[in-house]
Amino acid sequence: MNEPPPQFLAPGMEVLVVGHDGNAHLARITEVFPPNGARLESLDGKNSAVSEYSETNETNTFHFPKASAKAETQSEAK
Amino acid sequence: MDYGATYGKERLTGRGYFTPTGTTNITDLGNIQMFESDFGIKRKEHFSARRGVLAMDRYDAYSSMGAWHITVDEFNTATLPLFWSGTANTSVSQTLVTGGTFMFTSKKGAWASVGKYGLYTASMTTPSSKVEGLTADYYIDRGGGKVYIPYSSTIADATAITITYSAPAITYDSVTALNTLNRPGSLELQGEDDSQASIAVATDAVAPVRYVYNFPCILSVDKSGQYKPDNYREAVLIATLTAPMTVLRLNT
Repeated sequence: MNEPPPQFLAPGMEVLVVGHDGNAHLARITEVFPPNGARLESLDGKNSAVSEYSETNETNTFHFPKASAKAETQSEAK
Repeated sequence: MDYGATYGKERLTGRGYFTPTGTTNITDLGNIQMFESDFGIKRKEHFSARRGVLAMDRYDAYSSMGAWHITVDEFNTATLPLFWSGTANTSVSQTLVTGGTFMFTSKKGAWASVGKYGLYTASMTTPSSKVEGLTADYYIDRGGGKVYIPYSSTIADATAITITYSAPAITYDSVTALNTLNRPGSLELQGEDDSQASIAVATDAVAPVRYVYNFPCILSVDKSGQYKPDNYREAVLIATLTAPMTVLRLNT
């Protein structure tokens, strides 16, 4: 089993799902299958997946977008 | 109407028009297969007691619980909330999908749900060159939007699968069931006879309904009716009277 996600999964959350091309594609959670699974749908509704949360970048896993370095710098400055 | 009259013998079909309390909008109950009024009579016996023997000398009706049992078998958007004791929701729409993909991780003997219904132009595109069939590599239930990996499949467990498919734009009616068990209102039940002649003379003249029953009631239903392939589903609506009922019977 994958590690538990770093945050609570809920419908409507935007995540990145890893496709067969090895790239991460933006998707939205439409249904949660506890503890780590979710049904995902692309923002245009055309493509979907049932995936598990993972930070390994394996095909058909999803993870959360990282905050940009600039955003982190700004956050630390505060 | 006197004894011996043709229409003294009754073979009637029914119509029902329900007006919920608080509105003037009427819902037609649809096709009615059977309707009957249950009077719900209760009686109490009385015995005379003389010389060790009891003999009933009265057995009087003392209460009624009037209720109509209406067997319906037509299910549409308007009647769906009535027959599920619920409230109507916004209808649920599936948008048109052309050349969409669905990705999941394989497990032999397990199904995956695409989340769409009525799939077409559907096949497994990753891994490629796999054969569809219940005893082959994969099987797609297009109507129900599910994908199965048979035990005999050459696809190993934990393989990332992609199904490419199209799906039509469709709409489902939606109700939340069992949140409105009692539905107050008034019901007009009608009994019709198709063999009866019209009274008026005109090209569009038809026979007036033979019976008209008007009554305030509470409408409820106990079961959905049976879903089975060798018969038409029927549900039984129960309309319990909340005030005396008026019965009108066509005379002339």
